[in-house]
Amino acid sequence: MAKIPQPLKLGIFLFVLGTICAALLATVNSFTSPIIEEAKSRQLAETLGDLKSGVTFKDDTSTYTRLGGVRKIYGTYTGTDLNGVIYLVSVSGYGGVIEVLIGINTENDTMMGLKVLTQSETPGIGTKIVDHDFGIAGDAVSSTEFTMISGATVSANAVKQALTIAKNQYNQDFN
Amino acid sequence: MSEMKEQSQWKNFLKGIFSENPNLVAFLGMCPTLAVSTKVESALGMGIAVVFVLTMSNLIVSLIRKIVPNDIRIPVYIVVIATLVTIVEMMMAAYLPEMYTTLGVFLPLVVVNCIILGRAEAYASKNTPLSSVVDALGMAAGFTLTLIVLAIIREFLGSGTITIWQSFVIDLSGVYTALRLSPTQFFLSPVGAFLVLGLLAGGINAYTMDRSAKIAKNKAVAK
Repeated sequence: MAKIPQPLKLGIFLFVLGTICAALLATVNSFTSPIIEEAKSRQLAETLGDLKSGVTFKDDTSTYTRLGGVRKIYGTYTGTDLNGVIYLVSVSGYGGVIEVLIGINTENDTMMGLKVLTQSETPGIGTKIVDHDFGIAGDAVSSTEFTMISGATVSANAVKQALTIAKNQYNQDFN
Repeated sequence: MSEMKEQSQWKNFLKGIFSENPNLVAFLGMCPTLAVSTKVESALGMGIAVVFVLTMSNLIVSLIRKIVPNDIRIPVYIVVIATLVTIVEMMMAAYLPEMYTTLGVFLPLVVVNCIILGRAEAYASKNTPLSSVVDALGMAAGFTLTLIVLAIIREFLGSGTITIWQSFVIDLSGVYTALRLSPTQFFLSPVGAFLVLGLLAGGINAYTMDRSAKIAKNKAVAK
């Protein structure tokens, strides 16, 4: 039998190892991904409820022409009457993608508020955006008031950017 | 090496905690040490992840040490470690979602934690699976204990609480009220982390140096 050249041997070794690892990861993923998906949708429903209670939510994403960064658009309904919209906006923060839910009441053009859905910011610093009160709930859509976080400028600015995107989307569709 | 005595395996384990502590003596894996030690809970979470990844990677690397071609051993170790970390990541996202959110980017960063690659290269690639697992457990315990001690100090000084697990929080704000002081954010910042870590490292090094000096002296006397 001809001798296998060294680089090919090494390549085959890595290929086999990679295949084993990939198979292992696929197996783990097959049983963890449904749990992760379920937890995500549960969390989404809870967060939507935090923004506006006593209404039903409907995924209206396909009804509107979305601006860049707007991932989903949920309508809030009492019966069949639309009284608000919640935008799921994704922006990049300091440590990766930040997903923010921003709600606006369509009846009086005021902000319901915002909630950070997912983030991977620096623990202890950028993660402050999760519990921070940006002081926008109840403000008019045209208001530019925004309470920054000292020491976490990049993360807070990302949230601010998400807010601007949501307002632009709202102005496009409702004003 | 296979008939290594129980005594020396115990020493092998203890070296990770004291004389060769990965954080305080070798100064490896500083990134998670400084970043994740703001809360005892996240220190624990990171510790669990590292215990699992380090033990498994040392075991696997030791088992395959005779068939891995020398030229590509580092990429092989990295593939093994990355696979293990990804498994931990997926498991944590599924079963401990809150912990997963708290650890954030530092969980995937375990892949490039020098402690893990360092032990694979320096120890597991040259020793038996049993010794490698003991070495990994010792090192991981050293890492976790350091992180927890650091987190206890930082969380107490910075927030006045000790969060052990989710809602199991020891509220020590009473201590501050009694002393008419208040917790200072400084200890939650990176500067505070360096300060506490430095003092801790100084303390443990002074202790181990003192001990080894005493042992040397005793030996000299015995002669």
